[in-house]
Amino acid sequence: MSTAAVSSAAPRKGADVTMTVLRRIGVFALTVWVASLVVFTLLNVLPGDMARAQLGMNATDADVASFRAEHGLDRPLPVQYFDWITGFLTGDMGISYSSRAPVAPQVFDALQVSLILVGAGILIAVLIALPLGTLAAVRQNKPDGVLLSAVSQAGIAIPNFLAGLLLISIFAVGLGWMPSGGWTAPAEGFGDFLRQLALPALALGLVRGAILSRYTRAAVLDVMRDDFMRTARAKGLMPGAALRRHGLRNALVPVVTVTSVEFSALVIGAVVIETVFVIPGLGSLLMRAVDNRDLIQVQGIVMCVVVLVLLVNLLVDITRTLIDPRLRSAR
Amino acid sequence: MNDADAHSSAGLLEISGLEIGTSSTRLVHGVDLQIGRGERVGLIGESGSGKSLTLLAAMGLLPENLKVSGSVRLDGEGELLGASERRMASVRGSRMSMVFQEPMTALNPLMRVGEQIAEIIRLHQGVKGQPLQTQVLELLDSVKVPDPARAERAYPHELSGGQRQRIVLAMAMANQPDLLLADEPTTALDVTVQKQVLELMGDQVRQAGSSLLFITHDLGVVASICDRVLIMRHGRIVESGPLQTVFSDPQHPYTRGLLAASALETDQQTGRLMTVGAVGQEGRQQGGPGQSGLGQTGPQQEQTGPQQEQAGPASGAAPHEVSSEEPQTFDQAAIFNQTDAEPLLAVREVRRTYGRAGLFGGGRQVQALRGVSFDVRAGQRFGIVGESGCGKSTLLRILTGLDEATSGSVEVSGQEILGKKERQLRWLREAVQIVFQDPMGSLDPRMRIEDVVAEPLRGASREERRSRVEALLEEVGLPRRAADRCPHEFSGGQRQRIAIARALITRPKILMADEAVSALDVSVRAQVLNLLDDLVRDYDLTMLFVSHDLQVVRHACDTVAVMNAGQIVECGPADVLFAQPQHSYTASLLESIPRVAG
Repeated sequence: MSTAAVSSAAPRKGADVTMTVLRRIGVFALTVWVASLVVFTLLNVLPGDMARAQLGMNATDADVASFRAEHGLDRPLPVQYFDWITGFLTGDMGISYSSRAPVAPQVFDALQVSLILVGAGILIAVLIALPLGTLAAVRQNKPDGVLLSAVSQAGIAIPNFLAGLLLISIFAVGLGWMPSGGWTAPAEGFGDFLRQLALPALALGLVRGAILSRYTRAAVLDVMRDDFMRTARAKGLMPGAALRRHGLRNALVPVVTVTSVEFSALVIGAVVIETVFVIPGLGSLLMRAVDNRDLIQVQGIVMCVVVLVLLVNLLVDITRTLIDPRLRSAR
Repeated sequence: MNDADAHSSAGLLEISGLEIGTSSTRLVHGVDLQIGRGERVGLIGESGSGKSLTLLAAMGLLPENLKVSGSVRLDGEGELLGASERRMASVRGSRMSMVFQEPMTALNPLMRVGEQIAEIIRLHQGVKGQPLQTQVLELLDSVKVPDPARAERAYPHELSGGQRQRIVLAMAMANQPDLLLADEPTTALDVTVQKQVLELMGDQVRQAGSSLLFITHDLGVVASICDRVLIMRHGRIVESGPLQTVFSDPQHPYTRGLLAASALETDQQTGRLMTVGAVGQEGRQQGGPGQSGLGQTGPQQEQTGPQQEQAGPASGAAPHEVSSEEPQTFDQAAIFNQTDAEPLLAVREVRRTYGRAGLFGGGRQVQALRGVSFDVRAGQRFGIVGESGCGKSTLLRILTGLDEATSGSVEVSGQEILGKKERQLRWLREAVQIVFQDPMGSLDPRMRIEDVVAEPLRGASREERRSRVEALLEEVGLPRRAADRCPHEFSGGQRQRIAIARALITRPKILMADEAVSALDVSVRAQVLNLLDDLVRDYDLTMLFVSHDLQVVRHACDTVAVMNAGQIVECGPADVLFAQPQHSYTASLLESIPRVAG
């Protein structure tokens, strides 16, 4: 029986990875579909008529009827859903109720901005969390380790927008080193782009980094207590080498998992930060669309955010599979 | 074998005056220990005796919060206590190496096995590339891992426990160390695997000319591999000498008690198991508070008659049955221990298949039970033995209605319990109770003992609950005031008593014990077995005792069924079955038990 365990598992390794990835992608597609149903249902079935919401309470029935006809809202809901979701998959999110322009180009423009902001935020968070969390764990009983712990604990308590306002008041208003807001596309001026990106990305990344560093510290502490770390020392590895060769990769598994959760929080945090720093991202667009009661646009933006978060979760799942061979088999 | 005295001139490791403690308590009190070249020394003690700490101190791997003083000298290296980390690192894995207890967690789960072995060679010998690869494969071959080329590429989770322990041994022996330190290396393994690993370890050490310091609580294991032993208790070495002398003529009362308890010796007069306290009354019981000696405080001890007599009436008629050695007998499995009268428990053709259909097909199926049929009569003590994975735990879960069988029938007092809804099984929850293996994990840490024990009582007044709990606690040998405490305040043996009290509060007909004494020290084990013995009689219980430990089952049960690969292969009266095993599997199991007296 034990012999069979080796012989059956070893040669199928590549196949196991592929199967696991395929299964994850299948689950991803399923989740996207369910999410699209939820988003569509929420916005269309819940009380309040799309046309009424757009035209206001004073609109005549005739106005409403013609609006509904113009935007295809008079068709049965399943047809509308099918139309919307097939359009979404081909990059067509319908025509805006308020601006009468196609929704998709606006969303994609804003999405690019938000992706840059969120990407920079998560990058800052990870760059802060991994080294500081590891250090705080390794030196848990030393003064510097305790100080790091305390600082990260304080960081967790600060909300995103407050961090943003603090950064603005110090670096933009007080010292005048950075602009207090606005956005320049990288192609139009890379220097300005970086200067304007710095503060919002920091506001997002610092807080997430503080939280992530707590997880990193906990994960590294856990790993340092593991039996195989003692084995590594018993082999003759110095403590630092044991941690580098055996510890960190093991600690990475839970950290990567938490990073995906943190990413979702970061996307939501970005909506607020974009407002604070006047950045034309998805968050700002969403706020405007809600203000305009432009439900078709809201629907497109929300769906985009959902896909984005699910996509990151998928990538994280696949990354975990690559790190940890135990997740590869079907068991 | 080697004569212990011959080695004393060529000392390899010399530990003297070793003291280890936290800031408040001292855990090891002035231990002296010498190991000669090529000598194989066993360090024996129960949990908390300080044996593992002594070994970790020798390796310089004690946890940082412990203070250590004294001297640890390795021939050619000088003093190791207080040596720099760099110097210790160069000694570890090359001159001294170590095999750990838990093969499941001792290896890095994310690194291929071959690389983990290669690492220790590269580290100390600087070998690289093809020669290194060749050396790794040779090592894997030498520890008898099947198909070394494949094993080298495997991750630890793809190997069985026994194979992983071979890998750990291969790592430890990779640089032909002068001294191998082994900390309970076979405790987590099945007996048959344990035997193989012990033989392998003996061979490896002999071939490399290494010395061995072997830590264990199991005297039988020590007897099979060591030539000199040290008995450790409460941080002190209480007795030492050549194995034959110590085991045949123990001087210290604790050694005598330990020997009696681990051999499950019974008192000639009472038929009860000898406990460490009963043999060696030192007046100083340090273990857990009130842990030792509690076995004697159990009620109705006076009535205890000889063991065999009680077992007599129930087991007298049990026939000795053996299943065919042919593997294909699934279609018509025999009904073991069948009775003409109505059995209390009737199990018929129970099968359990695990497995799941994959999202993209390709589900894997495991047959945990492949048609199990037997009867248990009221008042019987029915033992089920087998190695890990044989299906005994699955069977127990099905019998208690905690798991569903794939097919088959289980009747308790003539009532079918399979395929019933939880609501319909309320009577079963009262009639059948279980004591689980892990006394640490099976009690809710946030509940007071009173609530733990009284939880199954429904609709009883507060006073009634309290008085019944207190009465039961006394019966299992715990003070009444224990009711107000929480589980973490008790030792393992005491928690198992609490678990037994919880099981008995519903006044069940059947008590199921799932490896109930496997996690306990031998001296505590004897006490808990004595307690079970009393309670089974006092409460007119029928007992189903599941264990991997054949000796324990032999003592605790009158009828025994041996399971292998999801089937019962042999069943009969305990005495007969152990004396004359008919099935080859039973014979090999019995053959593998390490024995104290050779």
